[in-house]
Amino acid sequence: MDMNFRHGDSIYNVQVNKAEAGFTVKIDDKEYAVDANELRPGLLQISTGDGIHKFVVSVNKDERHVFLKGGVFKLERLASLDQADIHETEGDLNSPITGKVVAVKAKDGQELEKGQTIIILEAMKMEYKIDAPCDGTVKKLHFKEGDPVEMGELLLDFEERTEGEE
Amino acid sequence: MFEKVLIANRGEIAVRVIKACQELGVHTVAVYSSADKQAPHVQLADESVLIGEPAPSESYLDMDKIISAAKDRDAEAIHPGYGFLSENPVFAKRCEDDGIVFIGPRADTISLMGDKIAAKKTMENAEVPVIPGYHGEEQTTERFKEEAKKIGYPVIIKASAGGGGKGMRIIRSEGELAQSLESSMREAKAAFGNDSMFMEKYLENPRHIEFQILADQNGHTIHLFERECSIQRRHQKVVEEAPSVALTPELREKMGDAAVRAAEAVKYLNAGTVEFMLSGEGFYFMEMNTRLQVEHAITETTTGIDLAKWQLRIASGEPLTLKQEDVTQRGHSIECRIYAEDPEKGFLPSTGTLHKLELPHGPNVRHDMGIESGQEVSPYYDPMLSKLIVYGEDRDAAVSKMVWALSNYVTLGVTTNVAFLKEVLMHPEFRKGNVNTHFIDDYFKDWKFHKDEIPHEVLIAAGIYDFLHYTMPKKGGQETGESDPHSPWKKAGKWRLGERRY
Repeated sequence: MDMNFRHGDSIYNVQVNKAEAGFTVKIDDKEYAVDANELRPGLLQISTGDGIHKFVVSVNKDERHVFLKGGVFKLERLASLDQADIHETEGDLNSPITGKVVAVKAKDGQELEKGQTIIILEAMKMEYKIDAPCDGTVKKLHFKEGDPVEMGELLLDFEERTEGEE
Repeated sequence: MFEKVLIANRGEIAVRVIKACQELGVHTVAVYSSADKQAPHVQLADESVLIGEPAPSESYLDMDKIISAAKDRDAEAIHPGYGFLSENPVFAKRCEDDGIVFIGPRADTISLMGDKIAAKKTMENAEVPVIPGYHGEEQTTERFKEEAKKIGYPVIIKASAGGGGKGMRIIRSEGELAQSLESSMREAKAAFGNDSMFMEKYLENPRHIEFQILADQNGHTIHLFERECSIQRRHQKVVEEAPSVALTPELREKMGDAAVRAAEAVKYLNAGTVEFMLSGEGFYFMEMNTRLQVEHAITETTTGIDLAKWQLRIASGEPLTLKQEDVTQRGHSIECRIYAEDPEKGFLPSTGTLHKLELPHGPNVRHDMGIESGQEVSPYYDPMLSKLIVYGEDRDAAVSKMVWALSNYVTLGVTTNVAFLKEVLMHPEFRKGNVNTHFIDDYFKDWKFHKDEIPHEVLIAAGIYDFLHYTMPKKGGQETGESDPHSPWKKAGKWRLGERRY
């Protein structure tokens, strides 16, 4: 079984095959002989020869969250390598939180310098500032003061100023 | 004792208070917003009343709805928990006027201690040491600039009505003052409905040491020793411990006496906390928290005294039968606050569904929980999910137990601070007890959990899990279909000959 997982910016190809005893798992070019037990739903005991580790796995659609000794690794199962291209980042002007817009500090068309505050968001009574990532122009603001905002929503269109324009 | 008490809160503290009531044979009424229909406190209480929409102003902060719920259900008393209405003197007064016992101090004490400026003056008069600062009514930027010059930078501005780090800013030079003040005032306004600020000398490497107080209606006041709450992020506590390694027996006695003096100066009633900053041997009164605190559990484990139950007893008019000399500290206790937040992204709150929650259980491991597996973490409320409290014979034993517990604290689906807390506890300086309120800024700035590449074992685990449970994703990245949950392949174990299942 051939799978691709994304972790951060990296994509890993993982091939799992049943062996006579346990599994063989190939990650990119490295092959492992693995013994595995699912002790109860979601709790995996995995032995790779280096030692025995216990993992707790949870699944939500394509997300795979893997718990190991207090840490959580967040993976995404990809349908194919091509799909990876779809998720190219759009820039940093998406909302990092689910909350509310408490202040809008810029107008459509306004030219800003890097670091100038554009929007102030609030969630759970904590403020979060969205600053201009570079010198540039606010093309269009998608939110006004008081609007609720979901994590990942595009807050505004922002155009980087290239040196030729100055 | 009361027949019936209404708990005007949610989350772990509502659960904690309901359990204390149940142990004392008191009936309980929970209130909840429409976001909390499935919440543990609602399930646990004898009765529950829906009081409104998720926004706190429509539910947990709505005094009319809470008081009428108490009247409708014949509750004689209201326990406010912490946060929300717990330190609102108007609410305490309204309870009094409506013949409902407010489980906490008198309204005028809350009012006095809520006014940080008046609180400091009162403490100065009671000969409790305080920090230099500006507590004037004039709230102009110019005045703050002038006063900051007198005090000397760095200074810190705080919300007069506040707590919990909201609206708090450190200002290191005059250039930063105007913008920080504006932003603080807005945060304070949103959190407390009041944008009045005060300013103080900022101590560079202070420890946050607080003393627990209990006082009854006859004015009998005792302290239950200290808690050290120096490990903070964004000025909010995340790790607390008792006792503090920074206190000698002499200093402990001196601070304990000052705490009792502070409480007596305001004729304090019920449970409260006197917060001090400790810098070297010098300690300064910071504020008094007129409520049961989040970190009360570590005092309970080290003194063996149940603070929530004493709150109920004192409020119902029973005398505090504990004498100061009856209270002793034993062993060492640590609390970690488990937050739905991302330590890699400036501790931003995270939301979503908590798909999996598995708790470490063992001797002297306590969980104060306000959430269950499968529940939604909403953006409406404080992102604290639960508290993990451990006890050990000494500090080393408690630290080791906490590291063990965090290593087995499974939270999947919502990003939490568990991995971060574990590294804090494992830090050599923490192990040595060298902590101050800048500990996280000093040692964990730009902290990342994934220092290197992902360990291949994790990919192996994910691969094998999917091999056991899932078919190939459909082309185009559609949702994958879960396979038969009773499939024998799920109990894979040692594999025998058989067919591949896809």
